[in-house]
Amino acid sequence: MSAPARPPEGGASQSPERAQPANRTHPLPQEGGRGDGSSTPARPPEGGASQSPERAQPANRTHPLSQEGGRGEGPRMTILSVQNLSRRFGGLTAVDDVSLAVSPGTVHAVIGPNGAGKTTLLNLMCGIYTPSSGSIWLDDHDLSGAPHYAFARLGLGRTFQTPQIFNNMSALENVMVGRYMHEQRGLFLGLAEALLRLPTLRAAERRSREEAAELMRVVGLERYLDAEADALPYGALKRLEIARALALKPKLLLLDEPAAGLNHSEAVEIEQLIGQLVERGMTVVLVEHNMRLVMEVSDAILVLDHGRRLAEGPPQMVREDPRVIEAYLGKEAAEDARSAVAV
Amino acid sequence: MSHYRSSRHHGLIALAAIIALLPLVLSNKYFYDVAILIGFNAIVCIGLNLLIGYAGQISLGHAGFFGLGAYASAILTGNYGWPPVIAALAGMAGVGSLAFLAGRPILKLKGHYLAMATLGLGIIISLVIVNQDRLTGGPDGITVGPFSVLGFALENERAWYWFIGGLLLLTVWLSQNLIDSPMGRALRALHSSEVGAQAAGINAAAHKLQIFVLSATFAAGAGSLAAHYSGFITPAKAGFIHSVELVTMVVLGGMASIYGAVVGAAVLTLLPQILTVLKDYEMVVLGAVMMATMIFLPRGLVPSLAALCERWRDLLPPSLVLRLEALIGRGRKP
Repeated sequence: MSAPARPPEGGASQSPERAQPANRTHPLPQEGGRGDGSSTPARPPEGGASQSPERAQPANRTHPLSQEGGRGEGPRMTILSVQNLSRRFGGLTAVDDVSLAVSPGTVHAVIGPNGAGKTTLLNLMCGIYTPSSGSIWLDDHDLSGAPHYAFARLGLGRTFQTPQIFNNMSALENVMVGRYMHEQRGLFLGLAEALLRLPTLRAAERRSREEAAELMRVVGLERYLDAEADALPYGALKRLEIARALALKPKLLLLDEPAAGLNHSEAVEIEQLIGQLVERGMTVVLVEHNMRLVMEVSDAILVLDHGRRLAEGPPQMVREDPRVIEAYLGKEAAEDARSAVAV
Repeated sequence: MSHYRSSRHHGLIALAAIIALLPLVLSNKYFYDVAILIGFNAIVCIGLNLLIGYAGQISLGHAGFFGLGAYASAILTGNYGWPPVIAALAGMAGVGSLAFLAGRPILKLKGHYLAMATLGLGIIISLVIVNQDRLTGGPDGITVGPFSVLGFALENERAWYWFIGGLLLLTVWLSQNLIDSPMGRALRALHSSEVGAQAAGINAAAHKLQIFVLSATFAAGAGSLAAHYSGFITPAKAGFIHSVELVTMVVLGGMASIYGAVVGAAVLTLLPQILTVLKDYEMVVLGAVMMATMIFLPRGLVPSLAALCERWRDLLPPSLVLRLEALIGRGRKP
């Protein structure tokens, strides 16, 4: 069903954007289809495919963006825009020509079988890897090839599949590290202030401490306010990382398998936390294996397989896409599923 | 945290008390001499521990920086007649600049490779000192004039003792402040997880360089003063063996512990003096003591003993526990 939708999309990205600039720049972010010639043909089959109208809406918001994402003026309404991104490791192309556009206030999930390139994509999107080709825009900054910390400074917070906790300090200090770039005062002033512990620093530290404590409460770690980081259980470490990422005051949060290794109730709590964050206007990119969580919180899902984009759309659509089922379960199961649907 | 903060002041007060009371048992010049030597080593080791223990970057070339500071003072005061304070500051600035230039490429390396590169840097420095004999006196060394601050000359051991004691307290205070600041957290963070630190917006390379320069500057300052104090400096002070001694003091005292650096410096300066009574077996026993320490107190004297205290605190009266904790400054975990 989405197969026919794909080619027109591909065409749309090449289609003369500049030909109708007035139409192009504004309609993009706002509800895709409206009055936009080139993307309308792509829309109906998809919109039709997803039964739930409330699901169709975010898809409409995110989808048109993913087609052209827009160099320059385009990304105004996309917070993160990834264009034709590839990353090769020797002969292996781990991520192959993947594009993604994330609009503010949505949850965009990236799923796929093991080895599909999800983590590579995530590492590309935060600067741990540099892309072999393609570009990454955060707001209107081109960050292709920028170092990891530069992404963070421009408002991209992330968590890791295996929590990267600083075990040599307290839990609260871990979160305070996240406030680093809001505390920074340049090389010499910062050093002088730190060495002499000037009153300005003391005041800033007090503020930092309070804000970090507040964030620990937000993620539900108030119990561990006085604990050393290495005394926290695994589930709490996952939350601690989220608190640290939030301390950046990020525009966008990349969550790499936030529910991995958690039991059911812990995963539900993470789901609720993500829901709360989105309610507060946070934008989230989520890589996750827990399908229940993904289907529950996502506005749009990008499915990767062998480094390529296999499908993209609202959860309902992705769930029923035979190619997705096939990638996950194999051809046979996919056929079973198809016949089951037919019956 | 407030706990740590209050114990930080306790530690400083305890150290000040020790420095203040020590002269009661320092009955002659020799004892003063050993105490002053401990002070110099402690200052270098605190700086080195900021780099090794907190930021997680090894340096096997710190004696080179120490030596450069010493020779800068010797040459600038001796040949050019600079005031000692200005010469020492110039030496620190010069060594800081050198550390900055050399550190940029070197600190990209990790682990053993970084150890090798800093080792190489230290060896180059000591070779230059040996070979530039017209300036440095070569292997024979060079004499250094007395030190004076604002016209007040440090003439006897007693004056030096108070001066170095004060300087040591200042170094401890500055270092504690640094560790408990955004910058210190950034350093500890990149030690624990560099990728995690970068995800928090921390430019790991810049911070490593910064602490490397600061640490080298501490060593240079201590080197300048040590040269003035002893009145004589030889290339051995800039050599590899001295570098290893410094690292050993840090590791034995306890990584990522400021008081650990002080205790390590004290123990490894005192021990060889005490063990001289064993004559031929001095080195054997010294080695055995060090091995035993690392086997039974693997995290170093101060952090391991602090952990032991934590375990025993229930068995001891609480007032004693508090006093002990204050004394050791609750060394942070490595």
